[in-house]
Amino acid sequence: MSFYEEDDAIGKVYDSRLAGRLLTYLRPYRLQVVASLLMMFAVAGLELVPTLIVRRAIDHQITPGQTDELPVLAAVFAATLACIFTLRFVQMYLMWWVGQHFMLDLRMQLFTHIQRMSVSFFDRNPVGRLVTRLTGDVQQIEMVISQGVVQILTNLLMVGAIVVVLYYLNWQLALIMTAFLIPLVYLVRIFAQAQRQAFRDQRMWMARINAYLNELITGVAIIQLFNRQRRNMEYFDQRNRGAFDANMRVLFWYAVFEPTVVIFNAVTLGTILWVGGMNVLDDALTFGTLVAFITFMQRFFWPIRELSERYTMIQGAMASAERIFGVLDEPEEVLDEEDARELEGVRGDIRFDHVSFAYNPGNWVLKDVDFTIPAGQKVAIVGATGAGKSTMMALLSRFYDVQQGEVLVDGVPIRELRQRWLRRHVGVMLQDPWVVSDTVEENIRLRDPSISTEQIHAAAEAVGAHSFIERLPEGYQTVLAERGANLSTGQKQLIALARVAAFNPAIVLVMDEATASIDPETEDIIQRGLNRVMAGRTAIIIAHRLNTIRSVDRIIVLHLGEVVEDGSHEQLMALGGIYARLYELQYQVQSATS
Amino acid sequence: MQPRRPPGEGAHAGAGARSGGRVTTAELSADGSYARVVGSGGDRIFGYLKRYKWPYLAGFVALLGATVLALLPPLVVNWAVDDIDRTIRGVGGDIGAAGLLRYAALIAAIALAEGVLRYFSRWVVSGSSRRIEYGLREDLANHLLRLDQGFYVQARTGDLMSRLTNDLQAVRDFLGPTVVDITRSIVILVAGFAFMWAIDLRLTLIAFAYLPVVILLMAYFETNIEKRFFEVQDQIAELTERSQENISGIRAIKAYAQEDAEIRTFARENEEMRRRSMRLGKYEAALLPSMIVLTQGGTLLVLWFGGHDVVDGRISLGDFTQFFLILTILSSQLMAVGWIVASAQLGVVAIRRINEIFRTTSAIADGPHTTSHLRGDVEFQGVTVRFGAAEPILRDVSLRIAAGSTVAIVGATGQGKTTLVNLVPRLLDPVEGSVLVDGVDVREYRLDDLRQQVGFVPQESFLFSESLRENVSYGRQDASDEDYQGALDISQLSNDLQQLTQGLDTVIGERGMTLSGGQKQRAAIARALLKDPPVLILDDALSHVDTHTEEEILRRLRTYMRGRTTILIAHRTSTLRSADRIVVLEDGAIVEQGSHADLIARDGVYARIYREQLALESRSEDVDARLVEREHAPDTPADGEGGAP
Repeated sequence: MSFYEEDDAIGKVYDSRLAGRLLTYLRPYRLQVVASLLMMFAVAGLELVPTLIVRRAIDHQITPGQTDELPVLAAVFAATLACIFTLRFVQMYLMWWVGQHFMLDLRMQLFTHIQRMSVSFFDRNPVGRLVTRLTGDVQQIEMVISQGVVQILTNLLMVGAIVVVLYYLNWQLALIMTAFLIPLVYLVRIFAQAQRQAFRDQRMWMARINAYLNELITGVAIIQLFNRQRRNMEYFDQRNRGAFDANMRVLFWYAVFEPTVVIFNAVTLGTILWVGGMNVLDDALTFGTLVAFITFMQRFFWPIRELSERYTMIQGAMASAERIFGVLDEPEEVLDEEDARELEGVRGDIRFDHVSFAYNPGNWVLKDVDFTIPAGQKVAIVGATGAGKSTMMALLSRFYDVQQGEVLVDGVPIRELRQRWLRRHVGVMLQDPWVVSDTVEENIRLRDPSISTEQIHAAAEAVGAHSFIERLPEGYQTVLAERGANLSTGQKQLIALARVAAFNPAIVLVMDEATASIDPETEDIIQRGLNRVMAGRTAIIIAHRLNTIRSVDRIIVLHLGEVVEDGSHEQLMALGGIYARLYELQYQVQSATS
Repeated sequence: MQPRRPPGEGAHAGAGARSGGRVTTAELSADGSYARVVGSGGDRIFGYLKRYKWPYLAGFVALLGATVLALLPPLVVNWAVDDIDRTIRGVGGDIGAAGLLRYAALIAAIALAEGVLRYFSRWVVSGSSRRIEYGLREDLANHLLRLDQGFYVQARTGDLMSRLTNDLQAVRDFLGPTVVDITRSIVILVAGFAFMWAIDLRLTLIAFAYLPVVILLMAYFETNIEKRFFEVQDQIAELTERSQENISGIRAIKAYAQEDAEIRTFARENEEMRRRSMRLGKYEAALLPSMIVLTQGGTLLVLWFGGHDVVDGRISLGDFTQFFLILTILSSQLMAVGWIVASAQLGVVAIRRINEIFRTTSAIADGPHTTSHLRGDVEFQGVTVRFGAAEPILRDVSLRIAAGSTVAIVGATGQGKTTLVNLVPRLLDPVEGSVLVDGVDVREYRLDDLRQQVGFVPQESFLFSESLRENVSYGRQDASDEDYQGALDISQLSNDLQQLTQGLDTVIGERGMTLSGGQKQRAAIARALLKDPPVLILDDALSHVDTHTEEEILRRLRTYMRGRTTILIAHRTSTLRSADRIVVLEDGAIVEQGSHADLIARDGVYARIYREQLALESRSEDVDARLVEREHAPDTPADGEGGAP
């Protein structure tokens, strides 16, 4: 599970490098951002007005017992409210808009970058991690832009504005109130820290519960068969108990925090009433100002409490930004060269020119592999798991670059060819057919608009997939379930074969592993489809079926990364080496079992 | 900015109730109901509430006190203002610094009392809700472990998990902060009305005419935001799925150079995400400004009407101030109404979904008969199995397997083989007919006793994310080293141990991901063998094991099986030939049975299946399966995930 993973790492709240880089994404929207900031200043000022109007009404109208000015004050009050509403709304909508565009841009950039990464990048990064970068991490930053930053700035501005007004109204009382700020900030910090820790624990335990629950449910039959309900419940209880304790800690801090704020507010209110009241008695302060002070006091504390909440949000966003940039900063390892080119047409000659390759330096998977396959030849690669067969295939698609030697197609080193052009002409039939939750048609053309519906049908027909596709509820328009759950393995393989045929490559690479639990009939269809796809093309096949091997022109035997034998079936049999031994063993087994 | 959710107590501050407690629209089974939701007797949540009735009661009393106390400081301010006013005007009052200080102290004292009561009520009520959550989760997990396979055929893992996490959290929030907030809102409304009435009825009625506006507007926002929020959530799910699909298929995409097509598709989804977010944004952006305007609107009302009242002498300046402060408290409480309603709705739905699980009872009940050793005579008597109204999976199957014999069950996928063997350890009960072991109906046995006597290797070899040792000894902790070695030896797992970094202590990743399919199957076999059961069932247990190893395992198993009843579901010819008797299932019924030689001679269904299988094996035999280091060195990092071409 990923819950112990780096994803929970805590970022700094402010990191100038990261923040600066994030700002560059806002550049296209700077007009909106600036407009939004200006409105923020206006709002901070405007929001003081209602309280000041109340003050004036009390001092100039109500206390002296007049009402002549009251309609004017009420009108100004209402007008101010209308302005506040409009400005606030426009400003928040703008920032929301900016946040959404930011998210769109960043996610697109990230996705595009990921598409350009070489296969070794995906060897290193598990699927779940990359998916989180694209979804949760992007979202986290967007939230700060559209909600967090603006709120914090508005609140801080407002606190500033209030302080200014308070000092203007009565500096002694203002001094007392600002003095109260210091312990408040301190208190909030203590609570925020404790709460953050408790929240982290809570999240961690919930993730553990989730992981274990998943196991319990998927393994329930085993648990029942082995009478292990009690034991497994003990494990579950540990996690449940952990979550409960963390929950109670969260609750404790919250239950304590709330009354603390209440008491703090009351003490401040009492102090204002006491000191302010004396000032009123001494005629140094008006009633209106006293009421204004009480009102402002509420507005004064609230933003500071909010700050602590936003803190966590920003912290999370910074960590997300760091992780996203980490992916964006990964260089593409397999690059097209400056003058990469495309060939006019492909004949299909393949040459491995003294190729050596290692995934990790020093750990050679292929050692000085050297052979030539003329166009149109069908070659089987034979060897144990770990002999380097699939690596050889991956090198031909240029998923990795070789360290020594050269792979050539039609006499041209593939390094000099455009990768995407190369791959269009090297068709690969993967061992585990990949399907997407889209229509059968789109699964065959892989959403490539250049392949017509007719071509798709023809391809499916050619490999023998047509009849089963026609029988699907909506034929070629049938939408496949996630991971093709509504198809059998054999049917998925047929679709993958149709895909190869539809792309019509000059070179075909086939990973043909023996698949358990495919019924004989489907096996037969797949076998025939495979032969059709290979016909007239250069084909390299990692073969597991004896009759496939017998039908190819040539067999290359790989052993521990080296080509040890190379020739036709008859030649290799005559040679009496590894292949002959393999074949004989196989033959023995089969004659013994029959 | 999310004022609907009082910050802090919930699991995710900020994200609010919506994301935390989202009720999935998807129901447990496809048709939206359970197979066996029985009666209404399972209202576990009500039971818990009864158990915690005293804490709840105490909490509510404290809450009542705290809420009323919260409305008192404005009254004190009222007195103070009036005293000052009278002193200044010189009409019958003379308050000095000491008097003012007393008022200040009074406010502080009230707040102290309120704070203590608040703390107490929060701790007691929300604490109980968390205890209930804990207890319910325990009960739910326990309950799930006892439900039969009939239930799990219909249930989806994701949905069950969401019930045990999201729904439980929604229930907890409902029984904790939400009921607190509901109570608080009601008390504040009632008490506020009383305090205001004490000042002036006319002004009170004006204010209370205004409050419904606040409630309605907030409810309007809540429903609109809620709806659009879910639309956004759906799109996030869509994006997640797209990314998942894209990245797990990246090798195929690259192999066909379809990156641009993928980018285009993703861009469309991304744009849709932005569109939906913007629809939500309109309401989100209007929410806070509306709240500010609403609160201030109340002030304006008081200023206008109350101002005239003071001037006209109907109320005092202190009354005016008190009124003003109380209305602030009232409207800020009512701001939360939208959130409270949403959370309560979530809570009610979640309670229903949780009770649904509790009301589902297992069809597999314990029997009275205890036993510690069975001989292993297995007999199916006219067994029929059917799920709901669907076509029967098994029809009237009768079959007797003598103790100590080996029977292979043969047939294409979907003919009922797995269903048949599932009947023996009672993972499933037949609708008609019965299964007897040693002449006793399996329903008569204590479940634990029966299952203890059956070694079962299922098709899907499931391992727990614990050490390999714990997995193998899963059914029997007291096994001796010898037994251990025996089980590892027969299953050929011993060969794999050297290449695992920590041997038996290697911890297996989630669902045993770090092991190959063959290794997992061998571990599952070892696990079953270690139980030393008189009845052994292998459900296609060697499908991922290569032929050579299969041969080895079968050879060793032959000795082990001596004296044990063995039921095998198998395809491979070598396995089939090793059985004493072969039973052919087609369409849920036995169509042929007899020894291998008999059935071949008969030249019926079995003979056909056998020939096809033989032809298949001759084609698909693993050529490299013969090589010594088979399965040992991983080829490329991509290998095994079926990734690299």
